[in-house]
Amino acid sequence: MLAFWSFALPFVPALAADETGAARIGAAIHGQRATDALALLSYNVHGLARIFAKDNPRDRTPTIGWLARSYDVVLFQEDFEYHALLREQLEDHVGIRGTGVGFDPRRLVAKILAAPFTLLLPNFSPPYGAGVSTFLRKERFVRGDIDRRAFGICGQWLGGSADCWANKGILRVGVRLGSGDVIDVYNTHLESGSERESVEMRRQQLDILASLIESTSRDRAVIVAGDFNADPSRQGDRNVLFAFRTRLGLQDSGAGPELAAWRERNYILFRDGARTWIEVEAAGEAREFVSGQRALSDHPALFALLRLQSETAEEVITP
Amino acid sequence: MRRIVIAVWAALGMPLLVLCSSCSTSSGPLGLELRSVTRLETDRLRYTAMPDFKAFAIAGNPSAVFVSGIAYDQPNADAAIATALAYCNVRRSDRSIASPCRLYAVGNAFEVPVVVGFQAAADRW
Repeated sequence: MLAFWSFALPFVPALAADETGAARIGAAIHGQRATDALALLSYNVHGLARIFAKDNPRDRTPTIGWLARSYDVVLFQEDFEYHALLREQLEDHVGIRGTGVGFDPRRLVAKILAAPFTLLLPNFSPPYGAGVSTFLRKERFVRGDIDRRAFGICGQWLGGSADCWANKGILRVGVRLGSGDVIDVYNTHLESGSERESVEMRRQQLDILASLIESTSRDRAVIVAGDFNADPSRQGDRNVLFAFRTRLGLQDSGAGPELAAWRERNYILFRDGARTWIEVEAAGEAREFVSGQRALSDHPALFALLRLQSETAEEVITP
Repeated sequence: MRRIVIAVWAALGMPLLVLCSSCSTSSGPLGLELRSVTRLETDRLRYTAMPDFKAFAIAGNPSAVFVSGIAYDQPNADAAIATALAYCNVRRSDRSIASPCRLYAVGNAFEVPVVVGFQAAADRW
């Protein structure tokens, strides 16, 4: 508990600033347009079993959840073993998890082989589901407006980053705006690795994601965020990423790492809908998740403050 | 042989590792230490191994917010420089970085001063 506060206290000013930002969040009607705002966080929380995480995620996970409270929509990746700890902190939010382990025979065999350890050891339950989860404030939740999709393809079980131990995929959640309109927020975590095969795997996964967006979110505004594992300085990744963005008309919010140590792998992308327009007010790295030379995960937390305008407004919610 | 080694490791090593790590209750300082190697250093190392003709452009502050554009295996130096700057400019626009893209390297020579034209840069190298 002491560790929690010693980490979190230096961030109180940062939180206050966020809450000032959150105070702007509400809804107002200007003529025939309703304006709303969303504070969105996307964070790979590195929530693996302790043996793989190289630290004890149980210690830092409650702090992550506590700091994430100030955001309207929170997208986690690698939320594998400590989901309950995050959920405890985010009590004002509705939490939705991505796909489970699924029915892949190889993953079932792995589950059976790992069963003795799963029974004996706390927070050790590989193989995993998608590991993506989305939390949103209760008033933003639209019951039943959720899609879960597993990619169904992965690279390796033993070599490389052993991505097959997770049933990676996509989680789509409808998010209600003050105008009553709904936008779609997609959370994903793609194949890791820098080899040609990994880049090709990411291309295929983004193709699956693009098809889902095209078929599900035809007229809706869309936000796509997560851990893409795509390095824009690699030619292959750059081509794959830009093809995906071009196909769907997605813009980069500008959220990205702000410390020299971080790699660029995570993105917050968006596009307008037929009746909803998205504007970025601010985007970057959520620095409250870093203290000095230590961070609450091995990835940067990205944020975007988005202003959304909807064409008509029949009902206005004022949080 | 590889399968046997993996099987033996799985049968003997894995349980021990899991038991040792998961049952320990000692906790160090909260969080994970940031990498000591910066993104620019990593990119630079990778770039060095890339085939000619190549160029490396950056915009922003390399110790904070910056973007890069790397081009390699291009038909000539001009094409490498133009492509690297073009890639960098796309990312600069994505991240809303005000300062322009500048050449950080052409070939394996680093820290090129700001260059006005592509040909001018090519002439220097």
